[in-house]
Amino acid sequence: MPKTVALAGNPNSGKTTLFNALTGANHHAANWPGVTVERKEGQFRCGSDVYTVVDLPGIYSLGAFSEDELVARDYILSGEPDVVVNVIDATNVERNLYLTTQLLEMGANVVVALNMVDEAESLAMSLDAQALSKRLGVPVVPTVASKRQGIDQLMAAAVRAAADPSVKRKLDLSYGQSVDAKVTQLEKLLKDRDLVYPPRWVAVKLLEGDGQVLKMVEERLTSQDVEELRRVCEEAAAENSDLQLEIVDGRYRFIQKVTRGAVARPKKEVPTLTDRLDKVLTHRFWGLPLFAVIIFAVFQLTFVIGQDLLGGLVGEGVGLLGEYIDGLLARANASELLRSYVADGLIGGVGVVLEFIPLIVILYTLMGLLEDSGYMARAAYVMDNTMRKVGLQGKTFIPLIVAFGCNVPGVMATRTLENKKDRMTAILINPFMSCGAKLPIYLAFIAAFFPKYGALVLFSLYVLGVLVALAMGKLFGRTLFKGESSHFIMELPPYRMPTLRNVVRNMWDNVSSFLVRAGTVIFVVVSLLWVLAVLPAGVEPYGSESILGRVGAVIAPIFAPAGFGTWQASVGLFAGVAAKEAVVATLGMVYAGVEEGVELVSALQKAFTPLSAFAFLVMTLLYTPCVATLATIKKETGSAKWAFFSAGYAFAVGWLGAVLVFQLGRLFGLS
Amino acid sequence: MLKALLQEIRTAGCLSRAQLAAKLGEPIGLIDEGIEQLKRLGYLAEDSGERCTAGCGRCPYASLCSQNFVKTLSLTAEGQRLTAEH
Repeated sequence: MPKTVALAGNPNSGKTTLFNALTGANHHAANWPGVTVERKEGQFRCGSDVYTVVDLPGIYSLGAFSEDELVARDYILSGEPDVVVNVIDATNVERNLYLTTQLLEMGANVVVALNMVDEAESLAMSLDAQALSKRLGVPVVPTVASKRQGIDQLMAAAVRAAADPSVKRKLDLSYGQSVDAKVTQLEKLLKDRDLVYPPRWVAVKLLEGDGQVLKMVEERLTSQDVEELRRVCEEAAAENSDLQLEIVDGRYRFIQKVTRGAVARPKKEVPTLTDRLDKVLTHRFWGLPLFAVIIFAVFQLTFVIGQDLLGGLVGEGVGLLGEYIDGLLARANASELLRSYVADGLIGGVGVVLEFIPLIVILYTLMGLLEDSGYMARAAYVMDNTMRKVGLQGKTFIPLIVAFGCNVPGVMATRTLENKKDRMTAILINPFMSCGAKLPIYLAFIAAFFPKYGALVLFSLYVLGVLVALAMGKLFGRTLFKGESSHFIMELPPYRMPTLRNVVRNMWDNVSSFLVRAGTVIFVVVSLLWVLAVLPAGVEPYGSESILGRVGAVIAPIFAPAGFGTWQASVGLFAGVAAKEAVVATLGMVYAGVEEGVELVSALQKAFTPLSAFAFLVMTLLYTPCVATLATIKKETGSAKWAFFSAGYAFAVGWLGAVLVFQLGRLFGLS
Repeated sequence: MLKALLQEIRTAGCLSRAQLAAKLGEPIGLIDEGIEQLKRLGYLAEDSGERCTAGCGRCPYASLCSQNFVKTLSLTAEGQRLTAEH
C-alpha cells in the first residue's frame, strides 16, 4: 500500500503548482464524496517507492465554515495521509501560518514547504527556515515550485516524516490562563474515550462552538458525558464572552512568536504606484484641497468640451425639431391650442431641459473616469478629518457622493451607516447635495448670466451644498441626534486605468435616468402646468391672470426679499418639488409662451439680475427636496414626520440662504 | 493581535488596511487575516446595505444605486463593547 502525502495550503500559495511538479501528467480528478469539491490525486515516485499525492482544496483555516475546510479537515483527521505537506507563501508567511498552527494543533504529521522564496527575496525579505523549523517543531524546506527548486529536499523530508510518524509534534498552545483551564477540564473528560481525534483538539473545538465536532462527540459519548461537556462549555462562555476571540488570538500570539526574527521585511517596503499616489492624493493637509482642485478641473473641462465645443448642437436640434413639428401641425390645420401646447409646453418646456444633455454627458463621463480610476473612493477618506470636526464621520460622505447623482439613491445609501445618529443626520443633509436634476437649472442661469465663469459658479454651488450639509450635520449632532459616531476602516481600492466600458456605462446610467425623467415626470408636470397656464378660457395664455399666474402671484411675495418675487420664478420653484428638472422646464414654458421664439436664456436675462439669479440658484440648491426624495426619506426613516421635517427645514434653509445672498450682495453694491 | 487591531480601528478613526498594517507593525496579509477573523467572530461588519428590501427589479433607481465604489468595515456592538472594556 503506497504511503499518502496530502498537500494543504492557502489559495495562491503555489500548492497546485507543487502538485503538478510532483505528479506531472500522472494524476486524475474527481469529487470528494458527497460534495462538489474537486479531489485531485496523483502518483509521485521516490527511488523505488511510489507515493500517492492528494491536493486538498485551498483554505485559510480548518474551521467548519465551508465545504472546502470541512473536506480538508475530515481528510487529515481520518488519518489517511501519512504526512501533510503544508505549502506556505513565503511572501505572506504570517497569514499562511494560521493554517499551519491549526494543523499542528490537530496533531498532523506536518512538513512545511516555504514556497516562492524567490519572490520573497525580490521583495528584500529575509527568511530563516531553520529558525522557523525549530520554533514550529517540524521540517521547513524552502522551495520554488514553479522552477522545481527545493522539491527533492522537500519530498525527502516528507518521505522521512512519513516513515517515522512518531516524530510528529502535537502543539499545546496557550490561549490564555482562563481558556487553558477550561481546555484542560474538557480534555480530562474526553481522555480515554473512543474519539479517534486528539482530545485536546476536540476540547478547543468544543469551546470554539464547532457544530461538526459537537455532533461527532454526541454520536460517540454517552448522554451523561455530553451533558457534562455542555455544562463546562456554557460555563466557559458565561465567564468569558470573548472566548472564541481569545482562542484565535492565542494562535496569532504563537505566530508572532514563531516569526519574530525569523521573518524580516525591509523597513521601507517598495512603494507601489497606489502607495505613491496616495501619499499625495490622500495627504492629511493637501488631500482635501487637491480634491477640490480636481473637481474644479472637471467642471472647467465640462464647460470647455460640453459648452464651447458641443454647446448649441442639441439646442439647435431641439429648435429645428420644434419648427418642423409646428410646420406639420400647421399643414394639418391643428388648433392654435394644440400648436401652443406642442411649441410652448413640450418644446419650450421639456425641450429646454434636453439642451443641456451635452454638458451632462461630459460631466458624468469625467466623473466616471474619476470613479473608475479609484479616486472617488478617496474622497470620503480625505473628508474624514473635516467630517469628524463637525461630529460626523468620513463614511457619512459616501451617501453624500452618491447623492451628487441623485438624492434618492443617496438617501438609500445611508443604510450602510449602522449608527442611528450618523444615519439620520446623513438622510436629512443628503438633499443639500447638487443632484443631476439640478444641473439644468444651474446651466441655464450660467448661460444667461455667468458664461465666462461657468465652472466657478458650478463649483461654488457644489461646495456651498457640502458646507451647508456639514453645518446642518453639526447642528443636528448637537440637538436632535446626540451620540458617538461609529468606527470604521475603508477599503481603498488600488488605482487603475479606467475602462471605456465602465466609464460609458456610468455616464449612460445617469444620462438615461435623466432622459427617462424628462420623458415621464417632467412631461406630466409641464403638461399639467400648461393647462393651468392657458386657463381660464379667455385670459391671455401664460399671463398673470391665468390660474398658474394667480397661484404664482400668491407665492411670489415670499421670495421678494431674495430678489426673485415674480410669479414665474415662484411657479418654477413650486414645480421643482415634483422634480427639480421641472424648474427649468416650467420657466422655459412660461417664458416661451409670452413671446414667440423667445429663448429661455434671453428671457431669464430680462427677468433676473446676476445677483437675483445667483440667489435663485442658492434657493434651488437648498430648498425642499423633490417628492421622490421625500418619499424615500419617509420609507427609510419609517416616519412621515421626518419627510415633512425635511421638506420644511430645507425650504427655510434655502430661503434664508437666498435672502442672505441677495441682501448681502446689495449691501456690497452688487446687482 | 485581534484586540489590538480592533482597538486601533476604534481609536484611530478612518483608516485603510495599509495604514493599520503600518501602525501595528504587522504585514498587510496578517491584517487581512485578522480582519476576516474579526468579521467571522462578529466584532466587525462589512457594510453592504443589504437591509434594502425593495428589490432592484422594481426600483427605478437601481442603476444609480449600484454605485458601490467604496467598501467599509465598522465595529459592531460586540466590537464596541470589547474595545470599551479594554
